[in-house]
Amino acid sequence: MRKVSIEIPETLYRRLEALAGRIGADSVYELVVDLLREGVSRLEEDLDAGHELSEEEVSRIRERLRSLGYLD
Amino acid sequence: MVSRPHGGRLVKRVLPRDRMEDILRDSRGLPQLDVDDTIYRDLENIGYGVYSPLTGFLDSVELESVLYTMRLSNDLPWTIPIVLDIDEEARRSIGIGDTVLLMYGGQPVGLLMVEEVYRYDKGLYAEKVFKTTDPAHPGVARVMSMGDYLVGGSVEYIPMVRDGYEDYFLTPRETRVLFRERGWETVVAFQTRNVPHLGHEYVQKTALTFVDGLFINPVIGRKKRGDFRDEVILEAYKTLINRFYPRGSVVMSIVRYAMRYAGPREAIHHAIMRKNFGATHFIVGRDHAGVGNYYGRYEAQEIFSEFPDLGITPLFFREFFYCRGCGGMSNEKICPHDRDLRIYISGTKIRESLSRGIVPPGEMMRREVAETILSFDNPFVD
Repeated sequence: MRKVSIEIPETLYRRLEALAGRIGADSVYELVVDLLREGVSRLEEDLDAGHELSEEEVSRIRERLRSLGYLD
Repeated sequence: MVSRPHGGRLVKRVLPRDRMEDILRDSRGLPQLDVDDTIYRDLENIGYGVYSPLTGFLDSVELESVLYTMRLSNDLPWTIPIVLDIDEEARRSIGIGDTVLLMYGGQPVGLLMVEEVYRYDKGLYAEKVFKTTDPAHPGVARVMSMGDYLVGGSVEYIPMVRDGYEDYFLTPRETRVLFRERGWETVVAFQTRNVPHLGHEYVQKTALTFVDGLFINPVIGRKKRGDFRDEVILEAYKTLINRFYPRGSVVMSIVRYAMRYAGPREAIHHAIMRKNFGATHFIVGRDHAGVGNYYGRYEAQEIFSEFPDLGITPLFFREFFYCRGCGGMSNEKICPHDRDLRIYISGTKIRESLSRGIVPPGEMMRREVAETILSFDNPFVD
């Protein structure tokens, strides 16, 4: 397995440490990997579901941007 | 790829037009609260997602977290409390669970779902946010004049008030589409409250050298006597952009926002706002969002080291000046010459020249920009 170092805020690390103890995770490392898996899946689902902007909304925005001269 | 919204998702809390009509028809039964200019602008910024992930005004848990840790309770960086204050009389008129109609200038501007009404410590608030309780500090003065209670709860913005700048305003959704349409993957944002001088131009162009696009985002709103009027700032920038910037490399749109003058904390807040507009980089200069001598010259840059997880890259600049030794614009970091060869750009001097109808020296401001400013009968706020 490839290992990488990621910098996170100290406050967050302290919360992870406390949480790992409470839920019986072996380590902060294990908890972080679990959380990342969950988070990544949720993000992927969000993208697939097109939560950001619908095509209709993008068309409306493009129209306004053109009318204001921001787009040719 | 432009920045992800702060907290992952761009908030939209704008009341749909069909619901707006129903609400306004039935609004006679709702309790009402008058809000001031600062809260009104915060409401708009929550509504359009400029303050993502906030969906309303902070409750007591979030306020405490922001004051003590400069983060929301979920650990996301957030440095400026976004709060709605009320006095004792208003407190008696609303209750938990109420939907309240927010009024500004006699017009309905939003709905607030009341989740909590709580007292707070103004001295602590001022000390944490402004690092001072000196009432001469404009941010402290405002906090001290606020009502004794805060209301926490989600909001829906009603875009009713017109200020004449609608065509200059783009929402974060719109800037994100625009940046994508232009093919920009990296965008540097510049916040301004002033007409552009050569120092601003060199900071912007230096930053633009390394990214795809420049997003100039003037703050429109409450001004004090002697400041440049908003329309003057916009016209001056249009002249600069049209005559001196590569075509298609700049987007200018306004943001309505009431400055807090909280120096370092506010620099982080400004960066978060621009991240939500889609910017990947943010310019931080000398004494950003400062006032008087309350903050160190570069304190607003140093604070960024506490936020490695901000999600937008700050670009730090030293003060630019004209150096006769260099024969052009330079700054403290790269200029080897003595101070007496430098012409520092003074906003006060520029303002004095222009108020007498005189074009400032070419080492401070471009003639074309100055002439645009002087084309106004009175470029200053009375």
